[in-house]
Amino acid sequence: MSTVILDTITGKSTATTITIGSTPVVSASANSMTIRGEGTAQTSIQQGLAKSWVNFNGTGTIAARDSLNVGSLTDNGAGDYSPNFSTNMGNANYSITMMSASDSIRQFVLADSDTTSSYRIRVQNGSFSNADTSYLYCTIHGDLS
Amino acid sequence: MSTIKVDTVQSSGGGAVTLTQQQAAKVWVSFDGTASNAASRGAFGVSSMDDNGTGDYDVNISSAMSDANYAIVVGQGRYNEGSYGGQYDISVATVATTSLQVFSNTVAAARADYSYNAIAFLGDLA
Repeated sequence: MSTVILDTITGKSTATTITIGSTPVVSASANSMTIRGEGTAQTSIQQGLAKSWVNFNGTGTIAARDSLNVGSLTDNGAGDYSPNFSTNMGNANYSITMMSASDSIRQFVLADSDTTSSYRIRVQNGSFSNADTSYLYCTIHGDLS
Repeated sequence: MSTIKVDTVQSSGGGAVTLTQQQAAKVWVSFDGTASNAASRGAFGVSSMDDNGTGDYDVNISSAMSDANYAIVVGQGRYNEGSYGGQYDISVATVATTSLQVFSNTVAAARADYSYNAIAFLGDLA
């Protein structure tokens, strides 16, 4: 076990490239760091990370069980919610993947009104009515501001 | 402030160093299924999109996955868009290491184009 404590590691030959073994695994430019994936391909650390996620109870007084980058949850009415980001997204072109837990035969979680500071989701049943549900899971991939 | 300049970092045993775990998404895309060639609004790890017909798309991957066993998560619909109040689903058709074919379907099990579709992959890169 060894520990190195420092503020900056800089590539000696190329300032933004560090090699482990014989393969460059870390490079950084334009505020984006890449790292070698499981094989030989490189992947961006920043772009691959979820920028926000939340598991929340949409019944009664809605509340997050756990979350990342969610400053608050707004209850807009039955089955109608807005997660609000703590740190804004850089644009509204992010990807929203969602799921709910339900005993209903058909229940959809529909996205709406994406902005850099929040997005809106509505939980609908087979009758196209909004309905509160206990377990909602939302994940955001995209660019932070 | 201190700086170390190096070209190679090894573990204390002289082998590879583990920097991260396999928890980051390798691909994500938000695309418009009604646009020409299903244009993406935002994406990571996507080289191009193919529009194969109504509600039928290919997501082509920039860096191939190591196998076709990756996890796929999708959005479920868009409020008030199109028919059925925007209730539609994205189903997986063909999974390959370099691409993913998906269908978007109405709740009446018909393929249809929708403006907002979200997909993310989690798994191993080649």
